[in-house]
Amino acid sequence: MKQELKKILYVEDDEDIAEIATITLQELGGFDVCHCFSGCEAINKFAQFKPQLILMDIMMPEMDGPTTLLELKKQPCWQDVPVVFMTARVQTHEQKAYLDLGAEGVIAKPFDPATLCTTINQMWEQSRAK
Amino acid sequence: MQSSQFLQVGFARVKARFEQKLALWLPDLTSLASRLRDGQVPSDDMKDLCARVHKIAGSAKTFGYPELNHCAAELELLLLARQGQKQSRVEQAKLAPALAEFVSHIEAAAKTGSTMHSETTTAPAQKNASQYTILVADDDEHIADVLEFSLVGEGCAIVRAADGDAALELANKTTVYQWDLIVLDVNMPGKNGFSVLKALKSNSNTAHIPVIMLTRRDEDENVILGITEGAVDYIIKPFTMDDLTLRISSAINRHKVQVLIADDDELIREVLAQKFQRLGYRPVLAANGHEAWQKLQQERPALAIVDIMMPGMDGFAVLHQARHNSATAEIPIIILTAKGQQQNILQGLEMGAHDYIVKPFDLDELSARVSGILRRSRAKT
Repeated sequence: MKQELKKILYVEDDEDIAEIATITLQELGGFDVCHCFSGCEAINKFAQFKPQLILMDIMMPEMDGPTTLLELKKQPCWQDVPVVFMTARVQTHEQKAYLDLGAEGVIAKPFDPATLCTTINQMWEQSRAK
Repeated sequence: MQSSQFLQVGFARVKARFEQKLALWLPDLTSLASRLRDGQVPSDDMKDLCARVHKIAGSAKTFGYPELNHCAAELELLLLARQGQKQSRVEQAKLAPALAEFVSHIEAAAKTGSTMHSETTTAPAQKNASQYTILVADDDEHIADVLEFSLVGEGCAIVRAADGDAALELANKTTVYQWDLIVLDVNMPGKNGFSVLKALKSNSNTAHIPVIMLTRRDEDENVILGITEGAVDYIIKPFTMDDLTLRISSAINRHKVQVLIADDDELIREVLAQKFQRLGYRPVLAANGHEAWQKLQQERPALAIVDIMMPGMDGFAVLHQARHNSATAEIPIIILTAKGQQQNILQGLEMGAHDYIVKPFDLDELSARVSGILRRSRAKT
């Protein structure tokens, strides 16, 4: 049974990037997006929103992406959902490190609005196939 | 396709806002760069710098400034090393020039941004006569998004705060932002809208900024509380775009409305000045008749409150001058008279006073009369 991706939890501290990505995901992708400005907010909203996928910035003040993921996994409400990281700095060895953390994929910034939704759907399919 | 058009317009707006921010940040960053070159800089300013550099390192490339992005990323690494105190001597020496380079990139970007705005074809035509800087404090990002989209389209620069503490911090940065208005949600976690409002009004740095409260339909007592505490207006959620823009422009424009207060009693001047400032008007003060007449001519306030009993040139003389001068003849004047001076009231009205009020007066009654007169005179124009 092929399940469609609808709900995305999006974690990004930069309001301008967040706005563009959110519009893109909502308008072009038709997704239901819950945006959080920080790792803390994401942890608070996770249980209530019940996302199917998490799109998360890596470089955030206070709690960065990878740390947020680790904290999320410790929560009792944690469900195994695919996580996609977004970062302005993508070196190959860093990419591998993020995948080792359990991320489904890494999207480089600046992202192309035209392909963002397709890429996310692809990663969603990829995680379902496992 | 409709969606991608929306996306284009949305992107253009966000990009414009990014460039506006750069321009707003430029003076602060320039001063910081020269201070850093000359010596030590307080840790609060460094924290601020780190936040801004981080933001630019994350988004400049997206908006078409790869060099600025690169420069910001290098600077961020230097700053992080400094914070962790693992900064080498070489890195320390690099900091000031790196910051200077960063500032020059920002300057270039801000200039590009401002010239691009006059040529832009994708964003809708902006009818901004004056660009307003508005602080939006709401933890509900959807409301904040809606406010932002409609206001940015009107030519406003919007800065967002997700909670009360962030709002207060931003509001206080009056050297960076020339706030025209603060839109404040009543229900926020942590510090709620009212404590923020109180804090704003009790700080002389921020007291003059007009505040509009956002409140839910079922919370009527909040409206009264807000107005008592000094908010100039309120908007009930869910709101219509028209209602929103109308109230916002009226609140901002009220800020430009001057009210002259002429009384030789210093306490009265202070009390009235404070009250009208909290209501969002701009008070102009005069301690005697001569000053009052001067200020009437110079400032051409929207309304004047003039005490009758003043030494030297009294209220009647001011009235007489005002009415016989074409420049000031139309300015509504409310006279303040002492109890038991019936003949003053009659004389004043006969000489052209718009209204009168007897001391000791009820402050709220006076404000209500003032608002009423101003509303009616606005309707005439």
